[in-house]
Amino acid sequence: MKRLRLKKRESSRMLLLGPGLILIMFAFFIPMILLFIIGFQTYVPGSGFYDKTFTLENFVRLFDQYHLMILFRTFKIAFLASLLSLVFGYPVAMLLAQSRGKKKSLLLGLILTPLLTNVVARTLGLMIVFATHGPVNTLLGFFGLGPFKFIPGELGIILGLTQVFIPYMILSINSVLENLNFNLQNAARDLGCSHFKAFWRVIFPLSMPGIVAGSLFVFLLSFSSFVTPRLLGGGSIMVMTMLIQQQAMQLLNWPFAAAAAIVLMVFSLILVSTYNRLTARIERMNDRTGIYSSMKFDKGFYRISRA
Amino acid sequence: MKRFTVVLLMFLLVGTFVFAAPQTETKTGKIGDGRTLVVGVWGGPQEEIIREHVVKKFEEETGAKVEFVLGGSSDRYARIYSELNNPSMDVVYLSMAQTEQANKDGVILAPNPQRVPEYNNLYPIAKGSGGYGVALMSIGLMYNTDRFKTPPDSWLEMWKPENKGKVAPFVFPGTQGTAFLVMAAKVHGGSETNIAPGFDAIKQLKPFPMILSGIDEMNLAFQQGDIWLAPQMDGYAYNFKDAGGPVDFILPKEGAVLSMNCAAVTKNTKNVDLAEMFINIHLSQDCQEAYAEVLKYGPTNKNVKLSENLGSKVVYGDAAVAKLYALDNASVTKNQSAWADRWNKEILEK
Repeated sequence: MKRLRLKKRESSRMLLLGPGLILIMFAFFIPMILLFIIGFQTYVPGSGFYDKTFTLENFVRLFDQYHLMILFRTFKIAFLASLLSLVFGYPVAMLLAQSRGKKKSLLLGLILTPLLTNVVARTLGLMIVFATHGPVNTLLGFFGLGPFKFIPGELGIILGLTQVFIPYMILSINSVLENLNFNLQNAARDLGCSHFKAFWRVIFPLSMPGIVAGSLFVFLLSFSSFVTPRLLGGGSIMVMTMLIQQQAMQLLNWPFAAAAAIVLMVFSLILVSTYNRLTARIERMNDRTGIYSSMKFDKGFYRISRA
Repeated sequence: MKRFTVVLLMFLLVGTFVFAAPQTETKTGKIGDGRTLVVGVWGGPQEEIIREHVVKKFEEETGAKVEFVLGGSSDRYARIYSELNNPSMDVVYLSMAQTEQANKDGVILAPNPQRVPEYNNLYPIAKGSGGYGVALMSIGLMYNTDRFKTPPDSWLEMWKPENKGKVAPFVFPGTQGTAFLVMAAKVHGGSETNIAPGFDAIKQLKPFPMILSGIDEMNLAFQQGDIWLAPQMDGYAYNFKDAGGPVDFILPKEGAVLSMNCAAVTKNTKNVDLAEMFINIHLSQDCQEAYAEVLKYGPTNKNVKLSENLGSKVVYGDAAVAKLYALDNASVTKNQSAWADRWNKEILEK
């Protein structure tokens, strides 16, 4: 009897999962499989159709010096955007975790409002702010600096991505800090740590799960973003997503675009798994020093957020 | 209880799809009863003009509804290939080169003068693309009037040492970008089949103030004096001038490039009759005149009459059309991928 009920519950669960699974199936897996097939087919110059002949040429071309450089640049931009998000986002997350009541609601509102605005609108706003004769350069001009050419350029793209994706970093770190017992910091201070040391040796390692989740979010979103590099790079800074768009939409070279998309995805997967393994090792190391077992910390969250 | 929740959720889900489905039309006894024509076109002013000058008349005459898919022409171009067997759009607006290629590949239908009588009144060039030419533009030189008291008259002005760092190319591939690359080659002894001089010449223009890809950022850069010379379409330049921008436009003596937008009927659409009626209305006086007024796009229909003032600002009349240089699009399309590779490596990078 009990078993039967359990089965029923399972089946209703599946029923609820169904629509989502079907959506993922049709909107993600099938297109991915098709891309995979097209990536091995042959482009015909001067025609919008591609030849179904099997070829490895697209992948060979992707691994020439130029395209590897584009892949590296995409990686570099996403990495720096994640790093900047961490540096700028951590203090905000800290402030958010330690504030209460109205102040907290206000802060949360400020962090979330940008997420409610369309990314194109936000990026266009940034184009005005960072323009050669824009407010940022005018301000720097007062100090005798500049004018800097933020856009079109890599620096502009990195700052733009940071601005667009920083809420993910703040919220990820905040969710860990929220559950953290800040008395640990006081204890460390009692035991003779300096302010900085108490943060660096106690709070920072404990917030690692949030940093891991947040930086992964920001990195992957930046790595695969198109709008921000397109607008802030002004068509002159090539990244992987722009290469894919150029090949697929403008040249109708679908085989090469598909190959580039596959490489981008595989590269992301490799990065994520390496990152996960690395952070798992850090976690084990922390465990050995006893830092995790000595605290009330919901490891369940960590596992979910890492996934 | 849980079961109830599940059932409720399922109902909600099904309900969403049912109510989101298009509602059925009422009968009026016309050819387009209960049918919908899907038109893929650029957003902004073009959509507005077509709504006002084509859709109203079309819906009244046929009883069909019109739906728009808005976006750039390369989105549509890629879609008509990937949706060849079951197109989601009935009428697509494309650039001239895209239309020629789509015609060659057989993804659009050949013009049908019997069902589109206005086709017979088009300039020869507007018939030549394999679709229906709807608007004529010229790509020449936009220049800063603060900097040039006497207007430049040649593409070669861009390579004069005193203008270095103030000349911006347009992104390739693209309407202005492709035209500029070919003209850069032509004035340096090359052509569509010998593009190397074009790349070498554009490389000499470095450092660029920027590589152009959008009209607004381009106009802003001209306003702020960051750019003095750039390739541009006549309509965009004149509209910015009319809005008070410090710019003007010339057709260089070596030749300005003809650019044309086309409309086409997708192959395998079930609404060929409606699509052809729609295009016929687009080619008539009313819509073409509005295009000239709002966008400064020249009419493709010989019978369209414009006022003298308007006529001087757009590509208008046999003589004006004949003066423009039509790119060898077959060569361009064939080499485009290789050129894009070169552009990425030699122009975008150091």
